[in-house]
Amino acid sequence: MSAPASAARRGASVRAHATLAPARPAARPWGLIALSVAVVTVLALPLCFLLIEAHGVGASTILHLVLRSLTVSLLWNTVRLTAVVTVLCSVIGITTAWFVERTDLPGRRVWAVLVVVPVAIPDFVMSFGWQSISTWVEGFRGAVLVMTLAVYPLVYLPVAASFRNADPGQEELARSLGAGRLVTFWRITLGQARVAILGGCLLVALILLAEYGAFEILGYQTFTTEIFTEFNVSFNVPAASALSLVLVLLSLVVLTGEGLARGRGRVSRSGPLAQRVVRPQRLGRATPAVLVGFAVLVGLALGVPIGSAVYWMLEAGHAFLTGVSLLDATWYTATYGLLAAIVATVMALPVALLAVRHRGRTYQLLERSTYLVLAMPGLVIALAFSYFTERYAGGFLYQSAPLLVLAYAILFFPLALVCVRASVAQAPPGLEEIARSLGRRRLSVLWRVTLPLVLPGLAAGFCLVFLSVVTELTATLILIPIGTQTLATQFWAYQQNLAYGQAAPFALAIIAIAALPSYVLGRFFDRLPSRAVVTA
Amino acid sequence: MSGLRVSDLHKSFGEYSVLAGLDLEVPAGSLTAILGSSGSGKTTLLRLLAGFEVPDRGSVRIGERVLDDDGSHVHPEHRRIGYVPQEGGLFPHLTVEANVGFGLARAARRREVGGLLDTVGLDGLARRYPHQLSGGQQQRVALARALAVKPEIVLLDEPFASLDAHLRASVREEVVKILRESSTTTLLVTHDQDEALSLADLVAVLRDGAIAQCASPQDLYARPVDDDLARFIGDANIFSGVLDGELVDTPLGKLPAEWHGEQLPNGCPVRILIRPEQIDIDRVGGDRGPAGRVVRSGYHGHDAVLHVRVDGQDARPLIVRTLGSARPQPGSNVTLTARGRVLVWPAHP
Repeated sequence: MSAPASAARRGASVRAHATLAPARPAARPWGLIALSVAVVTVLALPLCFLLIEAHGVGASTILHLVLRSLTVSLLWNTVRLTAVVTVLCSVIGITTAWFVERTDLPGRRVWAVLVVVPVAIPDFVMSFGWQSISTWVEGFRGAVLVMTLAVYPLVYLPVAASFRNADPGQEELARSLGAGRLVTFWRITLGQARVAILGGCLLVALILLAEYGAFEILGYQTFTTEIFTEFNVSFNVPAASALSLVLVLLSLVVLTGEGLARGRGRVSRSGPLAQRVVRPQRLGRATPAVLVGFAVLVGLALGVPIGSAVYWMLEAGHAFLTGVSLLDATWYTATYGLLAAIVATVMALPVALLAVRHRGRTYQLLERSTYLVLAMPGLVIALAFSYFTERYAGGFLYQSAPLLVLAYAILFFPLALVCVRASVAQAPPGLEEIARSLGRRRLSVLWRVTLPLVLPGLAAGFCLVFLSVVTELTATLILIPIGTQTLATQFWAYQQNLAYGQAAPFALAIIAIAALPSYVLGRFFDRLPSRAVVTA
Repeated sequence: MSGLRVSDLHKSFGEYSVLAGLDLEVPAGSLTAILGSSGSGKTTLLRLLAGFEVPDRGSVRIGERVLDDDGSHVHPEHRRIGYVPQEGGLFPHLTVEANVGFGLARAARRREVGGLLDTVGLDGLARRYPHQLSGGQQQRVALARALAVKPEIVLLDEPFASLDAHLRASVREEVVKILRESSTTTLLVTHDQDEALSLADLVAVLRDGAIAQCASPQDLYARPVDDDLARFIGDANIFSGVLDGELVDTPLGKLPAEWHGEQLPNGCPVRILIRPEQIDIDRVGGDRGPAGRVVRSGYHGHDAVLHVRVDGQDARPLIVRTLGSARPQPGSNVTLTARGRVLVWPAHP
């Protein structure tokens, strides 16, 4: 090949690169780098504390504690529950998403809301709702039932969004190439949703590893319940930290597995403007059966927990007005939630901006490392903070509001980052460049262009963190300042004393507070695809 | 007002070299088109000029002002170079008014935005949001926004490529009219020869990371620097021949030749360019030129493009352009004559 020809060919492959890659900055964005490094450092604190704690216990003791028959039975319990529930959730999540997004199911819009609402019901409330009305619901089968109903929306949400965005042209193409309906569904429809399905399953699995309240109520023993007991009841720090290490490793295995399964495949649309409306599949005579299925699902996941809470409240008559004021607990819950949501969202912004706007392996790595927090269950973070402040910091901040808020912010940082990142990635970088060519400095561009464009993502991240704080129980039980109660802890106290009538109003209050942010979130994920083409 | 001067510009991404020693001069107040096939580095050039990317080497100046030179780089916000991207790039969260006034100080905004919208003929749409505008309107808002800050140069990146064919001509004309009236120095990037030739004062062809030729449209079409370029700008008949003084032998007989640069020696082997418009055809009869037979006749409404095989020649058929109204059908016999001087280049050894 002659020199000019090869140069031309190189030029051709470069253009794609040049237009896809965001602007290379004139100088390194030192401000963003400094902020991001600070955020990553804060996020690494719990892991460091856990390691310091384990180091204090000593390797031989840890090994001795891990290599017990108890560990094996905990491992078996945890793994089998995680596997079964993850599979069930993906089946329910994918099926419901397909019916809602791709068929002419009557009342699709209503179902789309009802199917998601269980996400606002904390797992321990779901568990309480079922266990308090039926003794059948306990142990392994109880845990499977309750957890499946509580967390399947986490598969439904991403998969539904993916179905909505998927290029329908690809399905038509597959059919024209001779693939039947089933083959097309399996290879194209599910193939397009693969990343979403895996993402949903990852969240489900991580939640199962970290869950405490629901399993405590159902009498099902996992790593998390055992760690809680060792630490809070037996005050056995070495055992708690040894088991924590195993639990973190287990979470890491899940994270890595998802990363490997996701592979390098990409789902892309041929043309962003070719947003066509998918012609829904006709259900025909199957309609009544599908409707019954949806009604049963909503009844089990929504009707039972709410109905049972209302039942216990009415049963108790006026007695539920006694005890700590509902208003006080609501106030603390909302305050902690707001503060944690602000802190987490503010922390997420620089990391997202750096990772999306500035190409560079170091920046990507910085962002990736924050996802390691996902491997730290709330209980482990809480224990690490609690133990460290008590033992090494002379009680400074121990069981204080700032520490609780910080723990929440770290625990739910990945959720905030996902939302903020999505919005930053959707805001075309070209706009920031244009703003600068119009004579605006970097800070002014950030304020007048970038922030307004990523506002939906910031709002969504805020809501998601707030929602998660309101429904959080495990870490709260350990870190809550003495003398204060949140809705979750107060519910827990009553529930532990079998005072169902008094517990019920707190459960309902949690659901009520969590419902609004869930709605906002639903809207955000609904609008995500269309926003991308606003400027086109 | 001052022109743009780019010299020895280099830019690579990783191991891929996109621009390699590009030189370009854009006279003040002119409309210059950068013409290149997709992948030739047009967008990279604009992004470098706008200051979004930093060149690896070379300099960019406006008049006496140095924007880029070894080591020094003026940030986009201080370059006074306006940029209008392909899709307009309007801020989706701002109204038309706020978009246009984006680069202005608060006080100036109230004063000037109305006039600017008036200039681009959109005074009724100040309160609209970008998604409520048609493609052509978005394009004009983007232009008004770039002009608002009174840049010394405006860069247009394929601004008409995303418009429908019927809209393109009118938007094109309007945009150029606005730019001419404001006598802003303009650099327009396009892959559309027609657009470049019809709009620009100067056309610079970007090839292999450098400017292959920069000339007026007429000059570029009539006197391209080599045969590749001749084919890139429109249809071309190209032959090999030998120079005989001022004349050269072609399938259409001995024709007067012209060339770039110095006198070429007698007997010099050359490549010869005859544009389809330089050939006249006659229906049968006449002994003025060689005879031929029409093998294909493509009708384009206003004109027709004929492929004519010259009798006794095995070479590929000649391309001839004629008026659409009186075109000969395939199979008809014609005679061919060439008009004017033909351009020759010394043949590559």
